[in-house]
Amino acid sequence: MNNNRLLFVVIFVFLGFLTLVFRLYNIQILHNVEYGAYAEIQNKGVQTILAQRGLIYDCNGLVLSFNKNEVSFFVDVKSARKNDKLEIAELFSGLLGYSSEHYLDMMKTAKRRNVCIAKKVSSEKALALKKARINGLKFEEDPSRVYQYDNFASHILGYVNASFSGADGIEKYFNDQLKGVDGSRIILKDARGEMITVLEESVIPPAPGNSIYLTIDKSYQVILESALKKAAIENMAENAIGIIMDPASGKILALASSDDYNLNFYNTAGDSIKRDKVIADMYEPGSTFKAISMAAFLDKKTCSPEDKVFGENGSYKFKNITIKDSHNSGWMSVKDVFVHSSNIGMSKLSQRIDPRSFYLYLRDFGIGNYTDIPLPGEAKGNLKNPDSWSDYTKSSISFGYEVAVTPIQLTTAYAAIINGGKLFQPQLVDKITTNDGETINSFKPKFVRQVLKNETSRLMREFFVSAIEEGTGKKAKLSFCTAGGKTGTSRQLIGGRYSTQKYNSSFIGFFPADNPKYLIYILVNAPKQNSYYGGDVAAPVFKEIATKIISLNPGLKNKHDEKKDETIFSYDALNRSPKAGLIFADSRQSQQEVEGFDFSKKIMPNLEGKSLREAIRILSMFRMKCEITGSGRIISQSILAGTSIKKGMFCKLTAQDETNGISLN
Amino acid sequence: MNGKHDHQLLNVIITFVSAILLLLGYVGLKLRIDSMKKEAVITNEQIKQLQNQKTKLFADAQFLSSEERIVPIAVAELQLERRVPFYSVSISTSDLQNFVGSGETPE
Repeated sequence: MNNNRLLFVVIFVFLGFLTLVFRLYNIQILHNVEYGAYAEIQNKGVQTILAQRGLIYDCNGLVLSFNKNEVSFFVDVKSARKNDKLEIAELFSGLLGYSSEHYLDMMKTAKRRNVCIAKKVSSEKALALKKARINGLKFEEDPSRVYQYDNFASHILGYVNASFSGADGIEKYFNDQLKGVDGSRIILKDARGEMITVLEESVIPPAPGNSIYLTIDKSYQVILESALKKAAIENMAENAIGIIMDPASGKILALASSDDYNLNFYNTAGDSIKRDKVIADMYEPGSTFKAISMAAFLDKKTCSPEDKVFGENGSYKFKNITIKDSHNSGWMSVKDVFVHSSNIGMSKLSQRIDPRSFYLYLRDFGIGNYTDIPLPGEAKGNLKNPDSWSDYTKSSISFGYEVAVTPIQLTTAYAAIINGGKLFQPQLVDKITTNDGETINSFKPKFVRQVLKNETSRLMREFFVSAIEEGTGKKAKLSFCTAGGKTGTSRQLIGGRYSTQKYNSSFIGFFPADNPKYLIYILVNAPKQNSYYGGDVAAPVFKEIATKIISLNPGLKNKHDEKKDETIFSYDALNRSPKAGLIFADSRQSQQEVEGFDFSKKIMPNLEGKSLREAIRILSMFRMKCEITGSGRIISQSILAGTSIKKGMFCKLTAQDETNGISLN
Repeated sequence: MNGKHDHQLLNVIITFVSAILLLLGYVGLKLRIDSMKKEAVITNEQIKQLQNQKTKLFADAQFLSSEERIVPIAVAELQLERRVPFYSVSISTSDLQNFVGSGETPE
């Protein structure tokens, strides 16, 4: 009996072993691949190591955009038991501020197994949440892009979308450089899916993205943005856009639109606001285009500055179309045609050049072609082939109609006109560096072609200066620096017809005139307040911007304003006395320096509108003492113009500042 | 005979215990290495976070020290005035001497 029992136990144990052996054979030998794969899935996982996106800096190394490590938390509603859910809700409620019911509701109403209960939690708070070991709670790195100055340079920088990929601006254009290469690692997980360790041999480290240094200068960008916003408001315009460029190299120092948006909340802005109007919008430029036409005429030598053109007293019928000027002119020189922005004059001069040559000049200036500015969405403008030109087209183009340009095209062409005739590609990126700061690509100005002769460029600079000094751009005249520029006023083409209500008011100017360092483009779109002329609307914006730039760079002031061999009597405007001080004009100035006055007659001249400097200089020629109240331009004089000047006379001048609004009385 | 057996048994036990100790040591070390690898991953993440935080602080410092921010505060809250550029007016030495000679003094 006992032996039978023993035998039974032995057989039972043997069968048990046999079953186990069979089972092991089944698992380890027959189905090893299948079960191996299951095991791999359960205890191993591939984790992506996100590459750090490169940063964006301005030309002075100011950080404009950087990354923030944030974490998103998920709950696996099937793994988490009721107690776990309660614990999760309490934990998150305590740290993030929402009620625990809020989190419980999210988990209860979840339509998917994994529900995101907290998105983009800051790394500081996430640290505490990550430490909690609760069934079903998972987290994922979810970095954000931060734009330090919100709306600043929004159309240049662009933004990254939810998947952390560049969606506009530099972020999009240089996405491949900025994004880097993600790495990966295989991890061993426990039953809850938490990492136990990393398989070291499997680690592929991420390659961080490169950083980009722009040519943009934050100081200038701020000046431009604030001036454009002010101009748009003051003129009740739809918007205002502007560019500041170094004409000698094509470097863009600032580029903005008054329609900007907060890059940290890009979703709240519409497509129309997000569109970079500087590169994507084309328009018929009107008179600002005359500079390009005139440069072509002079370079081709179809006219010279002294040639005379009859202005038809302001109205001229050409090919059944009446061309009008805003002023009635008779005979005028070619220079006057430009300075006073005569459509009739330009139309007549355009007849001296053949269509093909004119077209080639325009193409050489980059009209009707991409400038290749490194921003997405550039339009190439519209320049018809001469084969399709009507009899009137050449005339129209000469004063900026029947041709469509983008602001960046026009600015680039102007840079070529004033820099000696060299066309440069607009440059927006200064250099690209690695994450460690090592420069891997340093961008140099990209010379495209020689468009004009140096002599033509010099002549054009003179024309531009005269356009400000005595022509349509008087409101752009600077106090301490000679500037040149051209105004433009064009009707907007709406539904195929020229509007009589909406105008493009523009001004393009540069300074210092003899060696241009800054080229500023201003376009005010559809001003509704007072005037719509570029000279009234856009020229003052140029002046405001230029004055601020000069105040940042005092070296730009005209050299002849500094006299070293004289006694200098200075006063500080902040510590001014009620009377601004008694000063003498310099009697050592040569008479040749003050033109238009006959000093031999000893008749008091009209000084109103003159700058303080000019007035003092003129009075010094008469050896007259003067007392000045205020600063800026003369608004009144105690000795009336025309009065005979006698020895010992004393003239009181009142001046008013128009540069910084500070009056010294 | 018994003593020899005991000695052999002792050797077996020692070998067995040593093997177990080695095995335990190996497992302990393996766990420690695994844990350190995990810590290394976490530390790397923290370094990345700190680097980003450093960039943020650097950007904040640049922002806080920028002229556009300081000037409005100085004007609005401290009632300071922007120092306008120094105005320089040129006077010839001879005229100044004539002027002083006439008995008038500049204010």
